[in-house]
Amino acid sequence: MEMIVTNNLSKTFKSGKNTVEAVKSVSLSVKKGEIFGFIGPNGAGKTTTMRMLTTLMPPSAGTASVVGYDLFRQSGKIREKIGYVSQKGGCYDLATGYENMVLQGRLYGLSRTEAIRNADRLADAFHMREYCFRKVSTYSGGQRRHIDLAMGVMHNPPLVFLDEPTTGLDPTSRANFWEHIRRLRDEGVTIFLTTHYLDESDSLCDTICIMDHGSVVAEGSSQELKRQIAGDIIEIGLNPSDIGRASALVSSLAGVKEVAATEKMLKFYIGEGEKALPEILPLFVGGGIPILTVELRRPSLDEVFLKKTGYSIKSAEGVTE
Amino acid sequence: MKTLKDTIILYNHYQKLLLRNPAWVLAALFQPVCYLYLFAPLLKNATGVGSVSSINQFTPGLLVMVSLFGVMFVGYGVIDYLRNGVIERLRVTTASRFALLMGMVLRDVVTLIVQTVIVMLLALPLGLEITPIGAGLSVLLMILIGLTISPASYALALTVKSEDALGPILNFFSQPLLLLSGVLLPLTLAPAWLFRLSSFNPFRYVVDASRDIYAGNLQSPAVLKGFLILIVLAAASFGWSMRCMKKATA
Repeated sequence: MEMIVTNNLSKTFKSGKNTVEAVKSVSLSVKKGEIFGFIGPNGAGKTTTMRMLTTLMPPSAGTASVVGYDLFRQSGKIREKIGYVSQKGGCYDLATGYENMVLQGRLYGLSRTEAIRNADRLADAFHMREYCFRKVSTYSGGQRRHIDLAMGVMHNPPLVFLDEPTTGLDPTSRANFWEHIRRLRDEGVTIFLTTHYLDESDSLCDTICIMDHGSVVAEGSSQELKRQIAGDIIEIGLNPSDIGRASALVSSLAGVKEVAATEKMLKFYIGEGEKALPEILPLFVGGGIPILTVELRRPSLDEVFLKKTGYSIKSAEGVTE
Repeated sequence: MKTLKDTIILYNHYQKLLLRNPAWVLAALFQPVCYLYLFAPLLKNATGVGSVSSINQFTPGLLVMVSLFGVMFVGYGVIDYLRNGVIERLRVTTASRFALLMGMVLRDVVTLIVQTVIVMLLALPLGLEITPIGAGLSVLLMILIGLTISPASYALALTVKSEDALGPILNFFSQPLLLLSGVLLPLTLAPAWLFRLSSFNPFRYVVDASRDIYAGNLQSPAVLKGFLILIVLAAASFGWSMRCMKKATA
């Protein structure tokens, strides 16, 4: 079942005489029970897309359904079924985390007893017992993100939106936070998150959607994306005298792309390298070309990003917005 | 039904947070108490109009001032909420926009009622005379002022989104609004041009209504006029605020 389906979803803002196309014809689908990651630099349109899907902002054009309800006509129904954790969280600083949770549950129509039961359960699940009875203003960054996430799932929604959930967290807190997100997924919750951390989308997301300048430029699992774009990288170390023959041999093979030779090294891309390598190596042996070293590498997501957008996400960070 | 329930849930929440720092509610009373004990006695000899005692002339204006200044700045809090993502989070819950707004407005109105009663009680030793019905009408008038000013303050705050802008804008409007409503001295003492100018200020009619209530003229046309004007203003203010709440973004 599809939890989110959008068709040419667009958002244009007017600022003075200029119209800015923040989101341009985004079509995507999010399957039930997956962690779907929206990745792109700041200003790519990730947050705007999320704000439309969470009913905070009306789309300018296109169609979309969220948890089976029409985004344009059934926003009330959608709100019942989704949880939303914004970048800032949105707890009352002067209330305790526990009070925030109970209030949140009550606003979703839970009875007082149910709200307290859920708050207790989440306080345990997210290990918040120690601090959840203190004012939120006293929390550390990690504690804050935990209470924010708990707020987002107080009413047991089948779909949760997380906007840059781990921005600003230290590596340990991030890893810890990922565990909670994975556990929610394992419990059957669908997660839609935005991030500008490549490692986060790589290790956490089942499906990754790369967004740039308001458009989706690639979508698929981390594996698929890397393969689809660049193929795997094979580097074979050779005697300098064999480079010419080896290069000719490799270039004649089907599926090989971008053969590049240095003095002692032959580098090329090929799809599904782990299957191709056992077929290629015997050709070298048969041709009497001694192999000195072999390396098979998967391309990193940053290489994927670079190929799709023309720039590295790491260098793009902080440039826009 | 859920809207009403959500309103009460949110009101209770805001009231609880406010009562953790009751000092602020009391601090807001410092100014009117000063006026009551340090300024009102001067009026005895200065004005001395007709049969109504000076304290009965001064208290109704003072109360309007309390309500204007006490409630006008509530918008500051909502800017903080906006910046911390509270408003956005609330807007994704199933609570209605009406409840999100009314929860806060109710707290402001209840606070105002408490302040009104305290000022009335403090004016009694100075010779204030008022019937229970008059007191009730006065409180009702204050509630309507609260329902007008509080949503407007939130709407303005949600529009300008910055404390630095909100303060000067509020001061810009509040000073002439206050002085041209005759809160300190009745505008009947004013020269003709000032009196005409004040007739454009809706709050002048509110103060007129308040004065008539404290003068015992509960059925005067001025009282009715004051109430009607406030009802229209409150409705407009609430409508404006609802529109801002619906599209509030940081």
